[in-house]
Amino acid sequence: MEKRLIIKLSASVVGMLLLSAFLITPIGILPGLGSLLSPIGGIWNGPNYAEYPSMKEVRGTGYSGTVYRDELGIPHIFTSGQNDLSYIIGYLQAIDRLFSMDMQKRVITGRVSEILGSNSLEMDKYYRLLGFARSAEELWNKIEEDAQSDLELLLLIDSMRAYCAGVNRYIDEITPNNLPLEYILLGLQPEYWTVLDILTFVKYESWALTYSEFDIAMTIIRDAMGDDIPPELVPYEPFPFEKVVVPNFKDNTSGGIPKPKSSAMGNGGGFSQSSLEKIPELKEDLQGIFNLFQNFNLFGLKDQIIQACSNNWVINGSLSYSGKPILCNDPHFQLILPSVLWEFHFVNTSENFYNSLYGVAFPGAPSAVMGHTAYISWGMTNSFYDQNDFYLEKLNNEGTKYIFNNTERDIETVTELIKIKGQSDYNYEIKFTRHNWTEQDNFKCPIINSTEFGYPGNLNISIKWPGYAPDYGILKGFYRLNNAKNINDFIEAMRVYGCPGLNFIYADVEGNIAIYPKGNYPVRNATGVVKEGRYIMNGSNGEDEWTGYIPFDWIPHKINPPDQMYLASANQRTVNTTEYTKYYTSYGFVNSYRSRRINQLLENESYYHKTFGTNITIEKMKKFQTDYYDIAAEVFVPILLETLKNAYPTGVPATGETELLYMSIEALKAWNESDARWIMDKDLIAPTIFNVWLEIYQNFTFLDEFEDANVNIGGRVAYLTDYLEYLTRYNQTSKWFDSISTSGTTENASMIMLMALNETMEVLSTDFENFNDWLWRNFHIMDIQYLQGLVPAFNMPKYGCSGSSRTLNVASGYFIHSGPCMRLIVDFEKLVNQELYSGYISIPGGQSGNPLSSHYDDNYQIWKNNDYYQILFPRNISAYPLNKIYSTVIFS
Amino acid sequence: MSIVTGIKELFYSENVFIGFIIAFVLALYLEITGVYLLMLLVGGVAGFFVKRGWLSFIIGFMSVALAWGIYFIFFAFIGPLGEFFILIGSIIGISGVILMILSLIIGGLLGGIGALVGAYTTQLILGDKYIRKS
Repeated sequence: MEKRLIIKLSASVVGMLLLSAFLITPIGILPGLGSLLSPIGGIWNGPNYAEYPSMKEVRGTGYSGTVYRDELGIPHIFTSGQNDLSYIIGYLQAIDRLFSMDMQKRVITGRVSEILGSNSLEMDKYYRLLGFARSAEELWNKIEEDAQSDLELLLLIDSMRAYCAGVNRYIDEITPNNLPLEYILLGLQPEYWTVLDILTFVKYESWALTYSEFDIAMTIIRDAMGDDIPPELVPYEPFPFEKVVVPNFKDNTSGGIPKPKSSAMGNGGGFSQSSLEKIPELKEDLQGIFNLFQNFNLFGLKDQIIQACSNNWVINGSLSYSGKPILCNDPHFQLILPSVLWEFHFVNTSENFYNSLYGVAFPGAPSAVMGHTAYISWGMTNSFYDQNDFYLEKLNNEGTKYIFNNTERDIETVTELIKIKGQSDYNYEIKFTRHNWTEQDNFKCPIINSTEFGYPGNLNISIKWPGYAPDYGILKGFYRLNNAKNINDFIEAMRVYGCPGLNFIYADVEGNIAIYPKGNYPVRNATGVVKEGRYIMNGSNGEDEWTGYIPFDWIPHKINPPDQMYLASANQRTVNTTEYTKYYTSYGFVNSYRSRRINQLLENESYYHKTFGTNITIEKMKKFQTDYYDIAAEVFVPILLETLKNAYPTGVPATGETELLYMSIEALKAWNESDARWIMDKDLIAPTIFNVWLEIYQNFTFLDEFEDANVNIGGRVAYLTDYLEYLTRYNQTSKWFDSISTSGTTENASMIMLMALNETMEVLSTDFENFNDWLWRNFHIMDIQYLQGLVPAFNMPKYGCSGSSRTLNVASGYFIHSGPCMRLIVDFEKLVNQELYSGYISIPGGQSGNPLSSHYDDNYQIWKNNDYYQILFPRNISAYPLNKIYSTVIFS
Repeated sequence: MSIVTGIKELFYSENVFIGFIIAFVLALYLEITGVYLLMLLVGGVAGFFVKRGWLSFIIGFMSVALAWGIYFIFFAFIGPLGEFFILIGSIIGISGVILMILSLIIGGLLGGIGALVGAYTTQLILGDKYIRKS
């Protein structure tokens, strides 16, 4: 009997152990079934904390403040100190976005392999190589050192620490019952936030907005096709049809005030080029390096960030309906959920210092990056100044030494340990050079070795970027903007701001408007002749080094322009480089179409104002921001139709072999002659034909020469649209139109245009046989995903949309993943009158990153409809409308 | 019945109802910790009181499954559980309702197997003192 009992007991113990083992064994990247399906701590808790509680008290923090969340979950924070504000922002951002902040941190510090295994190793190596965490640590050391004699830095340190304390306070409150769903699914726990995490994120965003590998493409083209080709394709001087960011900024004067001479400036006789000699036999290796960087761009989502860019503009009181300025900004970033931006409003309740701020922040940092205070507003677009260089390094055979300025130096080495889930750790050795011609450039430049990444030739190319310097200008700059009250505060913010280069637009309650494309812009003047940064530079002979940055007063800018009533930027060329010749800016700006459109709209309004006395209203500004008019269509479609008319003077038969051609021509003609002409409307067919045709026309024009020279610059060929327009309008017999593959025939623009149209019909017929299905909305699909598609169930439904890469309401590509991540309009009439609402805004996503929250996508629906909600901007807590308190949090 | 007799009754004989109640309450309480393996302990307690093998398994299974079921009913009241079923099903690829049933079965199995271990251990310890009801 007892024996039987023991057997039964043993069997049940074994059963218990087997069941336990089964339930704790992970399933792929998911944790064990037990953790997943337990009522507490499992996936079922997701809905429980999705909504904000109506009242919450956070006690014992050492910080104080009251937060009201409105119907969109936007927090309105009433507190008296900067540190209190930072703490509260940290806490609230953690509630809303902890998981996305955490994943972002892991990605940019190269720690994804820890949780997802060896498939992420290449991406981790990329981020370790670029070294944002490493650079952040150096920056932090510098901040701590300098803070001993810099009060503003001390305040910044306290603010960042308070922010981290807020995030970590929320993490401490997490129980198995309210652990975010994503953590449960991945079997993770949140990590505490540190100041280094803030700084690492700042470094990453700076990089994403600055870096370009186009220099490598230019080098490949130069070496394979000749010295004259790169400046022909992407000239330093503006095309005749361009509109620059800062008009009338010349060498000798700026608004009539002569600028001081600088020893680093050029002599105005043009710029020289890299001293690196052509190495044709290494072209294949350079191509490999370029391909490598293209792959890197996928990891850094560069193409999504850079493709779309941004718009901003401001009008002065003369042009606006109210006599006060109106400022508009729509930055273009990745369109993902949760949104890259997080909104908040703050009122300083201190008696000694009143200010109020409405802004958007990047989750992970406590500052508003765009927005307005009670007195001023600012916005930004990428300036596209040439802020990074690549150096071809000469190393010894052992890879332990390099040549700098013809002198041998030791290579610096850092070994990064990358943990990999389920495998042993990976030791990644990274090598560095320094190009410290001046002390401010005394930072490490990481080397990319082609052999290491599987490309031939053993090329060692280092990256030099001002963001690697331990420079806290960006922190001070945004701190000052967040507290600014007037134009002088704005200028002082610009004075310290460094990297990335951004076109800051400005307006204030006094009626001032300004634009300042500020950044740390390298001057390459080691030989006494300023160089362009167009090509890979010679890393060893000292001739291509940086000798400083463009002085503040010499950076093109404009305050209250006397000759126009507005200022605008859309990532176009900064200044007329035939008038501003002493300093080099950049060669690789975004094409001119968006900037031409906003200038067209505002110039027209200026004309109507002067002629008829009309003004610009807020409704008009909304229409401008959501405009789908394509200047490229305005230029190319009439030319194409004229070409077709010349090619087919009696028309094209409507049936038979030419039926599709006939229908395409009729669609383009109808578009050209209608009220909707050149609007990339999703419900029309002509935009599809035009967009595809333009791409093919561009490819037919340039790609044969590239292919003949064995050059592949990938998607960068899209940068050539301005040059294509120039040739089409002014030089239709250019050699570029002559197809390499046809000998005996010399093609011109007309022939290529017609060939491209035929090819367009082939391409479109392949996708949709029925002509009536060629609607733009069938080809142009908005695809907003949750964290780059991490969990498809959380994505927004795809939909066909209007626009193009060239319209103000930008939507680049055929599957759109980037675009306006905010549309902001600040109405200074309301700010001056201290009204309850200060302007209009929309963001493609909600405040909360919890897919089960009602605030996950509530703002998205507004944005999708090209609509706006008003910016609620009460000046003090008693002015806050009681019927808009949906959740209260009290900190004490 | 004196207290001592009552206690002896509790420890030495089969108490299905008391075992179920105590296990059920304990399951509700211990599940809050989020440590689901504690349901084995809950089952063990059920087994201690119920003592008979197969009956212990049923009581252990039911007490934990019912406790977990109460949690799901609570979640349905305080949050959008129905929508969540649909969402989670599309993430994991299995219907949310089936996943919930699977949760209840897993909880029940933990309770049941824990109860078996508890029951047989109790029988072994009690030996002849075990008062078996017919």
